[in-house]
Amino acid sequence: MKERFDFSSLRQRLTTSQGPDYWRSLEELAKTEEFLEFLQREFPSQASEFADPVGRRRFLKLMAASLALAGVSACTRQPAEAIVPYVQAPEEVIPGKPLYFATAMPWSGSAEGLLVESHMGRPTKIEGNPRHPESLGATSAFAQASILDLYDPDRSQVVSYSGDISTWGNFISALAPQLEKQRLEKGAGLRILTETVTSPTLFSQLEKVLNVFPLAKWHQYEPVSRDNIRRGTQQAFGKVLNPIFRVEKADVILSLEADFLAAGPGTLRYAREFARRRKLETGAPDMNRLYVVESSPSNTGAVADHRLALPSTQIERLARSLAAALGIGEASSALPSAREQKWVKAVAADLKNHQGAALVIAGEQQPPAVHVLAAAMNQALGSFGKTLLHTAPVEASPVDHRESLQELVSDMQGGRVTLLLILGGNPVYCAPADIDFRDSIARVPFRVHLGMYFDETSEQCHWHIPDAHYLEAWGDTRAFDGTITIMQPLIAPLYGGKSSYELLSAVLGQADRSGHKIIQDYWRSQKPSPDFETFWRTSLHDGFVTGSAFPAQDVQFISSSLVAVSEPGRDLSLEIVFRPDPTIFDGRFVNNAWLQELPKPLTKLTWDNAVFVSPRLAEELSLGNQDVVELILKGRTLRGPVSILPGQPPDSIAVHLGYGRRRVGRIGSRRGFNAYQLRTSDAPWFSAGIQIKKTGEKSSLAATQNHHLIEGRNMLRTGTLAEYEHHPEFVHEMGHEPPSELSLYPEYPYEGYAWGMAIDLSSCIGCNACMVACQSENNVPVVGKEQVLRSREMHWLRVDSYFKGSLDDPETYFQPVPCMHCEKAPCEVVCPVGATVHSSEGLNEMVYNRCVGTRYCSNNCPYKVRRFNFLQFSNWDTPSLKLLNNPDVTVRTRGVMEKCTYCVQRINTARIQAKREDRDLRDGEVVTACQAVCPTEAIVFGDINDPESRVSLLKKQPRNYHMLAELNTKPRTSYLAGVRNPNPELENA
Amino acid sequence: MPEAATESRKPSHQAVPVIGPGHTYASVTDKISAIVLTRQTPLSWLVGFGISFSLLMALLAASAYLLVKGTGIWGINVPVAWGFAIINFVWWIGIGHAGTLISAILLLFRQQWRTSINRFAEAMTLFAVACAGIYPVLHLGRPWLAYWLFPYPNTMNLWPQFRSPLVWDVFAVSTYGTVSFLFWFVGLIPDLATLRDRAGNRLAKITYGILAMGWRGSALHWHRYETAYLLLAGLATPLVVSVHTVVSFDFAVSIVPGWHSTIFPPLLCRWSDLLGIRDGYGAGDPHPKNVRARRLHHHETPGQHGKDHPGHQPDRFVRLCHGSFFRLVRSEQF
Repeated sequence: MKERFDFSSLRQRLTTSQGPDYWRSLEELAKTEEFLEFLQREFPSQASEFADPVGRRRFLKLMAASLALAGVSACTRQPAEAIVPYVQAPEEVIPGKPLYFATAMPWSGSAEGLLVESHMGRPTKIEGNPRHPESLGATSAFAQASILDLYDPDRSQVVSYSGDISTWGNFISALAPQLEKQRLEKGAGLRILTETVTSPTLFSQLEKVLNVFPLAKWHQYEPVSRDNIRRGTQQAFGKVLNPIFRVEKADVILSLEADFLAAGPGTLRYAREFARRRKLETGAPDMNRLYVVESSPSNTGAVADHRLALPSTQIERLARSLAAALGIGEASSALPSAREQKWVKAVAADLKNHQGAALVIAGEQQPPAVHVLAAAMNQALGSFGKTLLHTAPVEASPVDHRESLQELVSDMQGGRVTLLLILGGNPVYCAPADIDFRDSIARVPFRVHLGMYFDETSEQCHWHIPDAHYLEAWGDTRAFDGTITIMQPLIAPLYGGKSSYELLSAVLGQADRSGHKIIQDYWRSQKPSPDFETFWRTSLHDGFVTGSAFPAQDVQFISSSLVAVSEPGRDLSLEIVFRPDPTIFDGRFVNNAWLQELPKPLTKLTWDNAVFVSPRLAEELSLGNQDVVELILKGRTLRGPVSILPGQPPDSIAVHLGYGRRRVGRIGSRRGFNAYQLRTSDAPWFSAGIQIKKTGEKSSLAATQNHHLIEGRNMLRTGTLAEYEHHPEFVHEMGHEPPSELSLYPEYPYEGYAWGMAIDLSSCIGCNACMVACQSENNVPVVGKEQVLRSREMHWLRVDSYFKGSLDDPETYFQPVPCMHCEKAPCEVVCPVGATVHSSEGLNEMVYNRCVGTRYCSNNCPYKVRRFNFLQFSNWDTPSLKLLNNPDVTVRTRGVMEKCTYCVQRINTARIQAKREDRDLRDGEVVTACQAVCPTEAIVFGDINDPESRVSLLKKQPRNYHMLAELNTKPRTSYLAGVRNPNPELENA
Repeated sequence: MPEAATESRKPSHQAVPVIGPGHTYASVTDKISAIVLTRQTPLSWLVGFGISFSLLMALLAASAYLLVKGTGIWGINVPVAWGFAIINFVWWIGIGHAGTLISAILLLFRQQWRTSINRFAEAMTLFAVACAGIYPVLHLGRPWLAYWLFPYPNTMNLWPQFRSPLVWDVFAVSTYGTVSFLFWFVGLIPDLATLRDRAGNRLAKITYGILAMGWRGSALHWHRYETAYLLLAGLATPLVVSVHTVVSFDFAVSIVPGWHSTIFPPLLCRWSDLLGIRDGYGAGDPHPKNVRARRLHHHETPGQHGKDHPGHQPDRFVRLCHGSFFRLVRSEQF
């Protein structure tokens, strides 16, 4: 959409409520010409890519990777390989029956406990480990998608020296003389750079290395680290601590720019505990209340009962006022607006009223001072030991990452480094802009990079060693509370990758030691026999080491630390906020097509990052979506397209890290812009004084926000807790519900099971894990940016986001939309060949074999949940990606319609098991992929013929409603209206 | 029109010369059959054919590209899943619509001037239906399985899903195509016999002989011919309405907002009338220069009376239809 919005008329419409209650985008709200054209256009503007050489070339390029590849041979393809049976069958491997292995995915200083499904020795799907304290059975979208990284054909596949193919043996022989040299000078020139290390084994190896080379140094750097939390706890408690929130116990939660529901360690557990307190299934609701102060909207801000949009630079001032209102310290200066004063007063009162059940969380993005203030508030509110625990840090060595990198760089510049080992990470790309890592590294005579991809850092190093994926290598790691998981590999390294453990072992002169031996030996030293074997097997089986969580420590808040809190500056100029990308994080998932195509929670942007500006700023600078702007900060410039984001504070613009990669793979290279170019070590998260200039250029952004739009109909229904308590049936007055006997067709009888789903909109935090889980479980292809621009994304499940209320500070709601499995399905009657049919259990089934591709079903679907293979989207030709496919689900060809099946393969697996045991299926035995990963348990699936099943009980709730009920399609998927718990004092603030 | 009035007007019409000056029945027949039998293929025809043939090759190339890559090349998406193909289908069906309609209705109403246009109007219908038939097949995700829409006995005992308007389309269009073909072919029989009688070449003689189905021009033949022709005309007329009503059901039966409307059957029928009449006459010739040829032509069919002046009325009608069709198309945003 290239238009400028008339913001004043938009605001007018919203205040006079002539507009819709809920809106999805500014375009929809403005009803701009382009938007109407987009809605009504019969011929999309980009009719054929044949005439569009760039589109075609890009398309062809992408096809080779994990994207589409044109299938000339459209007829039946029979695999042409010889199948040879095992001479000696591996233990427990039964063809067609998956095995599950417990492991964990370590990343960014934490770990998610996982159960990984393995078919005949190849991992195919990731599930959460229900017994793991962080996962509780759920996973994040990142963990779901990490399996695609495993099979990524773009991963580096060989050891290379100066870009030439080499071998591990060559590397070892090249390394040996270097190490010998270091040994002589006690390792004075040896430096090891790692990401955050939580692994006990790796730490012990590093300690050994430092013993052998006493003058060597170990540095850690990660662009998205927890430096501020470490510094904050250091100041507040005198030592570095790891805060753990007990969200379940908190009645009132205040987040100072902490996105604790969607990012960072422990997030899955926090999300579950948060949502548990928002379920209205039990009689007396004891709903918690969440206040969020933040700049750029996050998922946590979106589900907050009250969100205050404030530039990041101003949050410290607000925190200070709040602390003062709670009787701590003094308010630095009066808050500028009456609105903020009112907010502070109301929140402080609410927090005080819930002494012992209140919780203040400061976000990593806020400076240590805010963490100290939060600690002081928690102290005053009696949160310690109740809603907030502190343990020893999870990191093996909690150093300040930026300082650590700075030290390394000055050593390199001083020529003091002669041998540099980079274990993981990509510092050349993601080092702060003021630390010249790239040029300093050139002064190191021998440089080694261990990485999954041949990336910007590998280019600058002599040796590149392919890193093993966490599903390929032995390892161990700690979760947010210190729980250790011994990670077991599910497959031998696909590309001969080596783990960090093996590389360090080589440094210690034991190049032949396998990862298995390294890990086992370490643990044997920790748990001497005779119990070792039991310990080892139990820990591997359970997926964690029992009792390894850190005990909570008694902490004493150092009240003098408050004085140390510096007075915040009052820089009211425009600020820029850096955020890890919601789907590709700090850039490590940039070559993952599932995550690239996953619409970002609030903006629904795919394949790109953007400069997010508030509607007010866009109005002032007359910016429209996709206008390229130039950002200037401290003499550094960056160009990127604008996306107008409702809820962004007017004095703040936000950019996501992780894009603008020059070299990584076919999916991730040259997409978006590199925000690290503006990020300096003194202002890693936000910085005032940014200048923004319009360039007059345009750059297309593939956002799905307006796709599958169902104009102005009451898809989403929400209310407040007060409304709900006063009138639980409120949701049914929000739309027309025809009597069910209106249909001409007779009702189907359901004698056995009747499957149904209920989705609780109060719980959904829009984390997108369900979308990736669905994609992974059901072999859903990715289509690429060009195809997303043409509205052809294939996700069977989408998460719509809706805004309500004002343009500048709207409420936000998320709504996952899978197939509704209508009782009277409009798609079924119009298929000429009977390819979509009603099953005896009420599923609306797609028969791919029978589908000829008329697309009539999709036209007639009121919910727009059917997806069509307009081109050959699924990849049939990349060998590694074939391993990824779930063998229980057909890989669809071009020309076939597909859609959510309620994971019919899982229903049937459970059914077969039940039949073998001669019993009926139990409630909870069939779990759909989306339900399984949902951290907030928002999705419940089951038999609606069983009146006692969880789904039946939910469907009996007064706030249960059907989407587009007026069409009398009688959907099997129903929604529980979103209920929020606003503070009456702040209502209509 | 009352029969008596027609009778009474006859003499005055007979006063108008129906054969151009200097022509006899025989010379007219010679002249026309010469086009097929003896005359050299004119260069202009070859040029025209060349252009049309290259366009046909372009169609083949485009279709091959489509078959290799998939319907995605048409720019369609969700929710606009049909786009290009449905427009072309409805357009060509619309064109095909009126050829038979004009011919049959004018025959039923004994409008003898129809003989100047009926042959190519009917031929146009046949070709248009063939064109229309291409799109529903090509628009399929897997066109090679298009035959699954037909009810044919198979070992899996699978039948089409008869509640789907697309299956109704299959029947409506194929019935319409069949009847239009029969109507066209039956009308051709006496002329094919004429060509048979005049063909010099043995192969042509045999071919035309087979196609003429033993026509000898006896009174009994003429009697049966006229009855059959009239019956087919009677059959074709309601089919014309049904085919377009059924085509419009693709939209009207769905629950898509904007499509779910009872106006579609009459609306599409009307559009198609306009479209087809425009093209029927247009293809014939809206140009006054060709009036003479048209006169020659209409002597070919028996029972001509020349009730109306063939020149003016259709021309004006064509222009009217043409204009109003495009007005409609513009206004409806179809």
